Formats: sequence, C-alpha cells, structure tokens
Amino acid sequence: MNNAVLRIIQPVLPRRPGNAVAWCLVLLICGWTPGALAQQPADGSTGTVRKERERLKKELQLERQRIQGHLPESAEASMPVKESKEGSESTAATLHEEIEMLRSMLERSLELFERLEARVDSLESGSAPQQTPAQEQSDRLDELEEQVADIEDRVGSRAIAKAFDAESLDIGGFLTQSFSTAIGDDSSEASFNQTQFELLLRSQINKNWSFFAALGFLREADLDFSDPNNPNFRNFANRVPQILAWANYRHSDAFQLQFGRFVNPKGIINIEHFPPVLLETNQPQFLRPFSGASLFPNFVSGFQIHGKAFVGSTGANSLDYNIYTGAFNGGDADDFVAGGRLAFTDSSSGMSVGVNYEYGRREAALSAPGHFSIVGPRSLTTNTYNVVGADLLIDKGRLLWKNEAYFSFENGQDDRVAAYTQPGFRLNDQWIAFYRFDYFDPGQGLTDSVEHVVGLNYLPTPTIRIRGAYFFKNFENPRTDSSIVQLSATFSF
Amino acid sequence: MMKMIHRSVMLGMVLACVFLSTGLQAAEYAVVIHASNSYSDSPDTMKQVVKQLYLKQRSEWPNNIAVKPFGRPADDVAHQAFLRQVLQMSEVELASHWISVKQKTGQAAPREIGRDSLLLKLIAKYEGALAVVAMEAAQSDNIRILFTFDD
Repeated sequence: MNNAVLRIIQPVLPRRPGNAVAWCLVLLICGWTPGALAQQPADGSTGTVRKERERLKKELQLERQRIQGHLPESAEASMPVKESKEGSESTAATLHEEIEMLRSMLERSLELFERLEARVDSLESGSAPQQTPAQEQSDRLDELEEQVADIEDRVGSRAIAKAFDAESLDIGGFLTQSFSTAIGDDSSEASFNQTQFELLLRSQINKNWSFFAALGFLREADLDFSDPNNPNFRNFANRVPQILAWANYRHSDAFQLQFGRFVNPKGIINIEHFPPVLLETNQPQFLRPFSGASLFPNFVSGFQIHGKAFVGSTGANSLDYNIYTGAFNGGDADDFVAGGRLAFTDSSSGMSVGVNYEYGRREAALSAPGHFSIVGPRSLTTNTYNVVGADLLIDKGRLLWKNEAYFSFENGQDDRVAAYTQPGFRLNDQWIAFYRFDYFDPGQGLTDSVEHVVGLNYLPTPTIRIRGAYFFKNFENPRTDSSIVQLSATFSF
Repeated sequence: MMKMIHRSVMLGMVLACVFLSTGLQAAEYAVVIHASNSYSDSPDTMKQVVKQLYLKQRSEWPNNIAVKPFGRPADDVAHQAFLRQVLQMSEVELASHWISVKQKTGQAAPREIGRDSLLLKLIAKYEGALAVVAMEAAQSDNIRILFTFDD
C-alpha cells in the first residue's frame, strides 16, 4: 500500500527548496513512520533498524537547519531584488504573497518535524509519557486489588477442591437429553428415551504421567428394531458404565504409553466418540450398540503405544500412530484384540487420511439387539477375524466431511462390511446441516441395513448443541422400512 | 503561480497522509517465552509451532522443553490478534477445538491471564511458558520475544 502511495504522490512533490523534506515525508508514509520504526521484528534486523532510525533523525535535523538557513527574516528582505527586475508594484505584491505563503508552509513543515522528532525520541526512550513513581505504585496497587477482587468473586469463602496427590485436577462433563419417535409400518412409539450424564476427570500426576476417566450415569430406554414394522422402547434402565479410565505416560510427543480402558483408535467418529462434538448422538451402525463390538470393539481394556510426529517444511502436517492390544470382554480369556492405526493430516487442506487394522477373536454370547441397533453388544458367533479399513476426513472452512469403510474377514463365518459417508456443511457459526449414508452388513446370518440420516445442529454457544435428525432405515430381510425422528440437546461444561 | 499553489495543495495532502498513516498504524504484538528457552527457527515454522503448542497438539517445544502456554481473555485485543494472525481461527472454532480436546484427552484451554504484568511474571517463572502481549508491554529481562506480528 505504501508503494502505491509513493507512486501517486511522486509527480506532485515540489523539487525545491524542500526536496529532501518532501522525500522524508514520503519515507514516513511508506512505512518509515516512527511507529513503524519501533515495530521492527526482534530478530537479527534490530541493528539495521537502529541505524536507519539514526540516519533518518540526522537527515531531519540537517534539513531543518538547511531550511532555517534559507528562510528570509521577513518578506521585505527578498522584495527589492524582485522589484528591480520587474519594475512593477503589482508584481512585487504578488511575489510578496507567494513568499508569505511559502514561508507559512515551511513553518508548518518545521512544526511537523518537531512533533515527529519528539515522537521518535519518546518511542526510543520507551517513556511516553513518563509516570512518576507514585503514579506507577498506585497503578500497580489498583491492578493487584482488581486481581484480588476477581479471585474473591470466583472463590470467596468456598473450599477449594484439590487432588490428593497430583499437580492438577480438572473436572468437566456433559448432559444429553434425547426425544425419539420411531415410526414403523404397523405401529409407532415416542419417548424421552435417553438422559445421559457423563463426568470427565483429568489429573496431571507429574510431568510425564496423566490420568483421564469418563464415567457415565445413564438412564435409557433402548429403541428395539427386532421387529422393524413394530419398533418399541424397552423399559428404562439405569446404567453406570465406566466408559474410559486410562493413565498415560508421555516420554515425548512421538512416544507415549497408555494403560487402562481407552477408545479403540479407529476411524473418525469412534475416536471423537462423545456427544458434545457429534452431529448426531447415534453413531454409524457399525459402532452400535454403545460399548458393543459389532465390527470391532468400541473400547479396549489393555495398553497402547501412540504418538505423533510433525512433518513438512514448517512442521504443519502430522503423522499419528497407535498400536494396541487388549481385551473387549475380560471375562472371556479368548476375547482378544490387537491392531493399529496410521493417519496423516495435511493442515493446509484440512484433510486427514487413516488406515486401520485389527486382529481379534470373538466369543459368542447371548445378547438382545441394542439401542438403535440391529445387533446386540456381543457376537452370535465364535471366530477370529481381521478387519481392515480406511477413513478420510475433510475439515476445511464450511465443509466437514467424514468417511469410513471397513471389511472384516471372518474366519469360517459371514464376512462383515460397513461404510458411511457423512458430508456436513457449516451454514454459519451456529448452524450445521449434514447427511449420512450408512451401510452395515453385520454378518452372523443377520440382515443388512441401510440408513439415511438428514440433520441439523444448532449451537447457540459452542458448549450447547441442539440437534434434529430424521432417520430412514431400509432393512434387507424382511424387506421393510422404518423412520425415526430424534431431537436431542447436549450441554457440556 | 498556479503551479506553486497546486504543489502547495498537494503538499498539504501529503502532510495529511502522514498524520493518517501514523494514526492508523497497525498494532504490534509479541509472542514471548522464557529468556532461557533458546528455541528459534524460520518465522513460518515458529508461527506453526506456537500454534500447535497453544492448541495442545504439541506438548513440548522442539528443543524438548515441556510447554506451558498462557492465554488471554476472549475480549483481550492481543488475544484477538493472536487468533487472527497466528492461530488463524475464529473464536467459535477455537471454542469447538477445546471442547473436542477435552473429550479426547481431558485437557483444557490455557489459563487466561488478563494483566500483562502478571503474565510476564508467569512467563519468567516457567521455562516452557508461552504467551502473547502487546509489543510495548514486552519489557522484561526474564523473557524473550520469539516473534512479533501486526494486526
């Protein structure tokens, strides 16, 4: 912008007598203002800036002296020469006016220089204006009083909670309330079917060790699709699951160990997991029922090695990895899983690509279909399996697009397949619209299911998420449809 | 004569531009760290590293010092400039980021410190500390300016 100003004003600048004056002004406009001089980066260029500042200051002083040297004491001092040449009183009067005008202009320029010089000096000394010690003390006392008042306001006479043996303890959580209407071909039902309160605890034990737990206090009436034509809500059940509980050892960002019960590090939505960040509380079909293992376990009890490396010329991109082993259900010694994930994130495009693998063994156990799910939390077959999958996330500007696909090679049983695509669009800071196509073949001799979900999220503040979603489900066997309308709100703190 | 008047008018405009230029000068801010933290890199890399450290995507400086970032209140002008120029996020995006981090790891946003004087004391106290202040406030022997930015 400053160069543009320079090009515009260059032709109109006076050549004499204030040539250097004008150029100094131009330099000031073009970023060499006192403010700009005081704002040079604190790297190796500081010495150059100081020299330039000194040079400019000297130039200003020289120009000031030069102007003062050339300035006539009065307009009359220059008149006789002019009069003798022109021989006319009117011409002399005109010249007199011109000289007066020039004189006035130069005086204004000198005043400007004085003000600019004073400003340069004050910026250089870093004391504009100087405070007296008493004023400074008074200001600092005011500042301290404000801080004490702020602390009093927040704490007052209340007891301060602290961890027994840790550097810090943070507590948070969220509440989700859902209302659902299930519409079958033969009958429909509606219910305020879920109240989920989860408590999140994190403690920094020392420099390297931290602890995190998520405890659920859930009151749920599961929506049962055993008969798709007659969906129904079961009786309320009070559940207090330990959702997560892990300790983490951080050697470096690239190498960390985690022990306990953790989210199975697969794909996108299972890792995000919690309702405060989900567009829809009901995750894709292969992740239902909650805490199940329709394709792979949502959670693993065991340990994992994980980390992150920053790559690229500026380290803006990242490579994340997880390698884990553990059990889905500790009651069955054979119920074992091991796997890994590798993901690359390109920060400039907002794109993340991941590949996933898991080897495991399923142990058959009786279980009814879970909430919103066509399968139960346990497998109906006993076999080993190998799951491979890939995921793609694009989160850039208004677009939030999640995609995952998995194929499970089931040893001696029907293979299982799952895939979804969920494009979301941020209408503004508060509204997000999304659609999800979700296919799941759960194997085990059960029916395939296709689910279409259209929804809208409203976030009056980032910690409150209100959702409306319409589900349209196609069942393969028996070939039938059903619909669900669900409203939910999540409040996190 | 006319030429002289024309030049005088234009010079007046130039002077007006000088005042305008100084009056609208962009504010400058500094990302400050503990004086003993010797980390340095290219400007783009430092900006990226500071972003990752502040957002708790990194837990340590590239020279292996554990980071301790400090924030500013949401209405603080230095914080708003930091959001725009370094984090390149909106306030809503930042809030969403912290909600996501809280669910995944239990970590929270950096503690907000309103006063420059208190902030500088905390920066001087912790080796891995990191914060943003207005340039004119970045005056202390115990801190180092990592980089500056205009807003």
